Amino acid sequence: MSARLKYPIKGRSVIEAAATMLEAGLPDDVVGSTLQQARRCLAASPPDESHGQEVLSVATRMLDADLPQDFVLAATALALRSAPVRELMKMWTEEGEGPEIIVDLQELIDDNEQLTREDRVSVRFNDLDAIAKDIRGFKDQLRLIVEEMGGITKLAELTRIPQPSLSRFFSSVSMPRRTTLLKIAKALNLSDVQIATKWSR
Amino acid sequence: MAIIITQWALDSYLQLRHSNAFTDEEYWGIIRPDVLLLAHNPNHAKFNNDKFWSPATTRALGVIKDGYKMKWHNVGNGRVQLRLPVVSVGDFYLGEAYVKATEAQEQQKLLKFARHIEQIRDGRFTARGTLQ
Repeated sequence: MSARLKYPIKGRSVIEAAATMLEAGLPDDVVGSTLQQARRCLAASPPDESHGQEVLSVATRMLDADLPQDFVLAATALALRSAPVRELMKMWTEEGEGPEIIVDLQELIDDNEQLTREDRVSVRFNDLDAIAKDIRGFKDQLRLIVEEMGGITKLAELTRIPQPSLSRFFSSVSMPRRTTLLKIAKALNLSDVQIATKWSR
Repeated sequence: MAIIITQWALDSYLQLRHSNAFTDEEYWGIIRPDVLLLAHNPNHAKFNNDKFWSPATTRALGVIKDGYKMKWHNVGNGRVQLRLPVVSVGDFYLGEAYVKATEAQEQQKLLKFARHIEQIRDGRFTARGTLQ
């Protein structure tokens, strides 16, 4: 079994394979970082079996909709231990599989990486416009580089971040996550300078 | 009790300000004073008015424990319905504010808020100072 296994598998089988991998406790180099993260989530809080099938059903539809496997697995692992995330996943099917819920799910997956409270300096209301302008400028500059290198669709393939999340990343003025910037830099072989902004978090 | 600004709140203010969802005058004259009531006058009559303050509720999960909504109507030049989710667990934590567009969109926002509450309870979030 190789680490490549998780990418060619489609549909329900990937969830079943992931579940088997998680139960078997396969090593990092085989399972990959995302599945390891999923296993940690599951180990920390065993899933509620009564909702497991609903979540797996949505996960299968997400895979059939060609959402990135890493994203689907991380969302599934989180949904199995968090009722609000589970209901958001179900809402995705009920509300016509819209991109907005995918964006929210990706944000919650990213939030879940934070393990402790962090206290950062406050921002004054009167500074919001200037900060937003800075962030807008930074993202516009980065967007130009992305377009030169194949555009957002290509970037989504390379980073395995859902395309709606990347579109939101570039269109919003919210503070960019350092982890997202690093994924973009790695995918496009960018330097530290090209992803440097004082407003990352 | 402190009013803690979370990173979720800060990011939403950035976006809402950038899209002119509310004016400076509304922020300083209405929104900010209303939010400060949480710490300075929590027994104010406004908190008995469900058009201003109500428990956060979702169809799927019912009432969200410790979750509330602060509401403003017809704000900004777009006359939008502005909502600020608030967590009350000893201190007050400001959540991701949003413009209510449809019932379905609000349900989505509140489910996300419910997850944020889980993270706040677990001490896994970023604080960006307090509102004073």
